[in-house]
Amino acid sequence: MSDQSVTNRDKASFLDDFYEMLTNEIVIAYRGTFEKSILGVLAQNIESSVHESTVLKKKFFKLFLELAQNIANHSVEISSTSDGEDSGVGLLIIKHKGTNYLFITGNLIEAEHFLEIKKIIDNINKLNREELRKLKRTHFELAEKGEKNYLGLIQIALVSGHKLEIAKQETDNNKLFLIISAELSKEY
Amino acid sequence: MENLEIKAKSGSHFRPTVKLDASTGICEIAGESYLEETSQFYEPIYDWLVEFMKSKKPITFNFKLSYVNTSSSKHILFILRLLKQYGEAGNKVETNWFIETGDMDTEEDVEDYMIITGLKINIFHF
Repeated sequence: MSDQSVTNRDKASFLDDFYEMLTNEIVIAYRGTFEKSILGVLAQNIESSVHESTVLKKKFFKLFLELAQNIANHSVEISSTSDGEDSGVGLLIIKHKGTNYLFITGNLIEAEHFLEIKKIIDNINKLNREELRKLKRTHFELAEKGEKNYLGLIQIALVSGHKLEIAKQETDNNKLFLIISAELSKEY
Repeated sequence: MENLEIKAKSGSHFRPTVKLDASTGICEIAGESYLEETSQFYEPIYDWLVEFMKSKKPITFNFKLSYVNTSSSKHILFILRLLKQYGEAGNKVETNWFIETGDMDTEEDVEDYMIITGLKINIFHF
């Protein structure tokens, strides 16, 4: 058997495995800008691929939009959209994880901001639902005054109902790849 | 004074439908509010209300929003505070929020809006 046929067999096997993973595990996998037109396409995809109760569909949609908005507004990898506007670039994967959906986002940030974001998420994870709602009200008022707030992350935690996870991958140039994940029970 | 109407694009998840009726004082915002240009969208609504309130006529404000993203929420708070002030000045104000049964996230948001603004909002399930 030639080396070439082995390579081709490997490629076919990889494609089989990849296709199986896409079919059975992945709901959405997207990397790029998170401009409005793209979100519209992804939202339609959610409408057609999440065959669940309307309550779950709404929660799914809220999580998707808040996470996507996080990337659009906070990624330091910026690209011009077809409308000539700038939008953050990042990665969003939504996959099945047993009785939950797992939402994973990744985007570049300035390395110096990681500890601050981690501290916020650690604090969110320590709070029960009532404490989290109280924190949300404080941040609602900060948002109203146009001050810095973390309403988006708090909202993600409340809609998810699970602890948020944060991780990083080092890159060059004082930037790192921030990974935030949230789970959503399918049993709504 | 003219009515203000903004129609959501078909299938759009981004812009709610708005109907503000100057003859009846019945106002409605319905749909989902995921907007990037929130100030641009909500300022005409706020300005319309300020103008309408000069008439001292009763207002019924019906919210049928099932999703308010974080940047839209501050504008919702501006509107609710305005309604609260109008009521405190002796005018008749009724604020209603229609929520799909089981949508606890929206119900909690509305409860939080009430706590923050002190405005009574009637919650109706459908």
